[in-house]
Amino acid sequence: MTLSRPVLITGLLALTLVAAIGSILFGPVHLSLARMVAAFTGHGDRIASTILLELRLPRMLLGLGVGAMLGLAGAALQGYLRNPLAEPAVLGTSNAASLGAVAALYFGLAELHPIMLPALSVLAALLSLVGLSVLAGRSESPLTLILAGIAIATLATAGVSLALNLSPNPFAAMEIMTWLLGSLENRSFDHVWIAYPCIAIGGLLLFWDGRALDALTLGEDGAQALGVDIQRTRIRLLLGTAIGVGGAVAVSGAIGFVGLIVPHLVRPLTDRSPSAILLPSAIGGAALLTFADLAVRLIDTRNELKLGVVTAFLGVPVFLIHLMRERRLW
Amino acid sequence: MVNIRLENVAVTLGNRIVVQNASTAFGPGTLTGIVGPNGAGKSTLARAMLALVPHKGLIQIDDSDVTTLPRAELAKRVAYLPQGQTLHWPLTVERLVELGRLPHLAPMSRIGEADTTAIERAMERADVLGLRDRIATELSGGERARVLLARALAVEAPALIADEPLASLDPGHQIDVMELLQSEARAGGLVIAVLHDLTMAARYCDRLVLIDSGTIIADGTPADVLTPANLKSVYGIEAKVELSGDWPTITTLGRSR
Amino acid sequence: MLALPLLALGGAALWASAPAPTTPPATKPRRIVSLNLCADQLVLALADRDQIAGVTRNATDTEMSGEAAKARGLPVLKNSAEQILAIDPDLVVGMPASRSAPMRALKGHRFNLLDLQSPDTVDQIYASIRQTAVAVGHPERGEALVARMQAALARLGKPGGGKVAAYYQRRGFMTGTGTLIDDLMQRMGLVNLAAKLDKPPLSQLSLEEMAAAQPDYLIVESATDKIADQGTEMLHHPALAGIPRISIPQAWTVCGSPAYVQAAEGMAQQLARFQDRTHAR
Repeated sequence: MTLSRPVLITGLLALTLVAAIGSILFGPVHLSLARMVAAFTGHGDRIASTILLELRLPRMLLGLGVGAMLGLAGAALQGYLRNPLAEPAVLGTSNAASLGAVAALYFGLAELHPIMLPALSVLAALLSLVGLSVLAGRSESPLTLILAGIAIATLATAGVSLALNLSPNPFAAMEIMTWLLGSLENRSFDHVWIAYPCIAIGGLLLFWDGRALDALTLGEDGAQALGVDIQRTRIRLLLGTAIGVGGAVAVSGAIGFVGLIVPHLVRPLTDRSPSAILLPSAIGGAALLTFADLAVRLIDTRNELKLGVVTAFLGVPVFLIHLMRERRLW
Repeated sequence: MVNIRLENVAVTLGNRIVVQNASTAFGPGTLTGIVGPNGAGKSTLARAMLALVPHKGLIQIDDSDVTTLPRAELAKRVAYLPQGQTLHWPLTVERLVELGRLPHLAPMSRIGEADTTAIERAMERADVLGLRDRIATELSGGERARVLLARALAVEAPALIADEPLASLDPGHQIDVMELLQSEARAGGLVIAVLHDLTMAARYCDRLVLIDSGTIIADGTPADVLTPANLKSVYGIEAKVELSGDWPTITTLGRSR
Repeated sequence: MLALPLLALGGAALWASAPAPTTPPATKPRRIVSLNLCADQLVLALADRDQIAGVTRNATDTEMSGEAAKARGLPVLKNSAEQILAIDPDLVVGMPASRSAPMRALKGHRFNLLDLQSPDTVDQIYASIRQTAVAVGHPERGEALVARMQAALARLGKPGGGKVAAYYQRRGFMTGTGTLIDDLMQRMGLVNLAAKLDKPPLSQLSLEEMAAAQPDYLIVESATDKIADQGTEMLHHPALAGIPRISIPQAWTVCGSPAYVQAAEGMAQQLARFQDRTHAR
């Protein structure tokens, strides 16, 4: 069921456009189409302009950017680790980045300078990835890697809970939930300026090594013999993931499963080589997260439905499919 | 045309000395088999030549020290077929063989005419044209081995090092692969094959290097290397060696006491 | 440990503890224990310092306690029945008292309990002040305090002028009608946005809805002026930038206490400042 690449990319872009438009059109306050058009052309009333340009527009941009980064990071990590279950949340990177962000925000470090928030988030993500390499070693077994990821994720989650428990903030419990389940509620353009540079740099680093990822299909020896510098590739991938995911998590909290689901959905439509799924995963991730964010707003619940809950429900079937496949091999 | 030279090469992995005192040279137009018992250091020697493991001593490819040669350059001169048929992703055969062109591709470019021709030629030589649209991970062991060989041939490097290329192949396919390696050598290539099967090694190789416990015991024509004395000391077997035609035939008689 | 055999005595002992005494005690109580922050406020305002044997953890926190200065140096209680038993108080004040955890553990004991109700209007605040003053043996102080409060409030007038205001907390929680905050807003002559939108006493309003509603004023807790977490970050979103803010310390509004007057005065001052600016334009 391979689609030609132009068709695939165009289709995904169209899907993303639909998600983006929906994200602007729908929200808690109903705005008539006429008012929306007026706001976008500059003649709108103050309320409509505020809602569309200061609330819905940054939210949509973040849904696209964070989703793209998570999709791309998942695809790149799966390619590099030769493991179809790898993605930033499973490996504990997202939770570690949350820990960095929480430390910055709740211990007053973010007040020193706005850059402290994404910087600490990125640093924590980087440390977690280095920790993962040390724990999992050179093992190519999927099991070792997943176990190491669980260890890191658990440690980071405990760290977040501890940090918030110790902080002088009496509302800590609610905040913990937001950081560990993810949310794009109440974001402003300030958050867009924090996240987008990190996502751009991270994305660039991850796209760079498409060919190296393909060569790794043959194993590390085979890839090196084809001219791939494994050390440089590894550094670029770790940095790219840490910077991109760190920047994204700093504004959205830890959203899981996007990096897991999207490459899986996209892979059967490509020639299945790791480099081929990078761009489609980025675009698909943008679409998926924006749709999920739209669902969060349209599904009316008493308490705000968290993004991570929606993506988790979408992600569990992917694990189950893998489980079924593995069981058949026994 | 390419030459590989080893001078006093030693390789230590962990705490073990795997290869020591290895000095020899390889030239174009020859199919050399590296043989020896399990754990002798055959694969390690091959990997050292590709700078995949650190080594002491000198390894030169065309008078350039292999440790200073940039990987991309090394990849164009020596193609490698690793042991074990590793294949992580379910690529189509054609896409897989295309990977062999990576050393020749400029950073942001797509494959060109020359690349397509090389891929076709490689697939034809390895006799996998009929499999081009199949998923590589779904092939039988023998088919997979030929596809991976095609990938190595697609590099079109003047040298080829194949590590255990006959593993999991039927006798017929084993012959196909050995004949292919032989014809590459005849056409002027420098071909080194790490082999487990002495019969195949004796039959097809122009030259054999016999390694035991990391040391080169013998180096020469199959008839010179595969003597009953060597077979006894290295493999611990009593064997009769007969020269029929151009290559020696080994008949194993039993364990040596 | 002691509580277990005591609990076995049964529920009858619970009903033996009387609600608020209406006649002053024969002697002034010398060991008064307060069970929660709001009770602390009243006890600290009305009793002598040497009468107080224990206040709660938050009493000295200036963020949360209006009488924080007075509480400094006084013994602080944990939520422990043992501690209370050891003090052997002759008056226990709580808002509520009988249903609080330490008291339930001490069901078998007879204590002189003052059970106050959480006030939702200023008249209810006056009632609890009077009750407490009587219980601690200084009824005249209670009357004086009420009189001062009434005079101060009378001076304020209705600076709100019928404008619409919303009491907006972290994470978008908004206070509705039937609450002390609502009483305060009405006293100022402000219309509660929650009443306009027909919302319950506590509800959540998204930024979009708040931006659409465009109240004339936002009333926020002064602790939220600093961004310390996502809940407070939301209150600083550009979408709310155009709405003038009135900032009141939580210590004045969290309890129905004499600090109500300070809250009212603070609000009136800030309202007046905004109106001067509008008139100056």
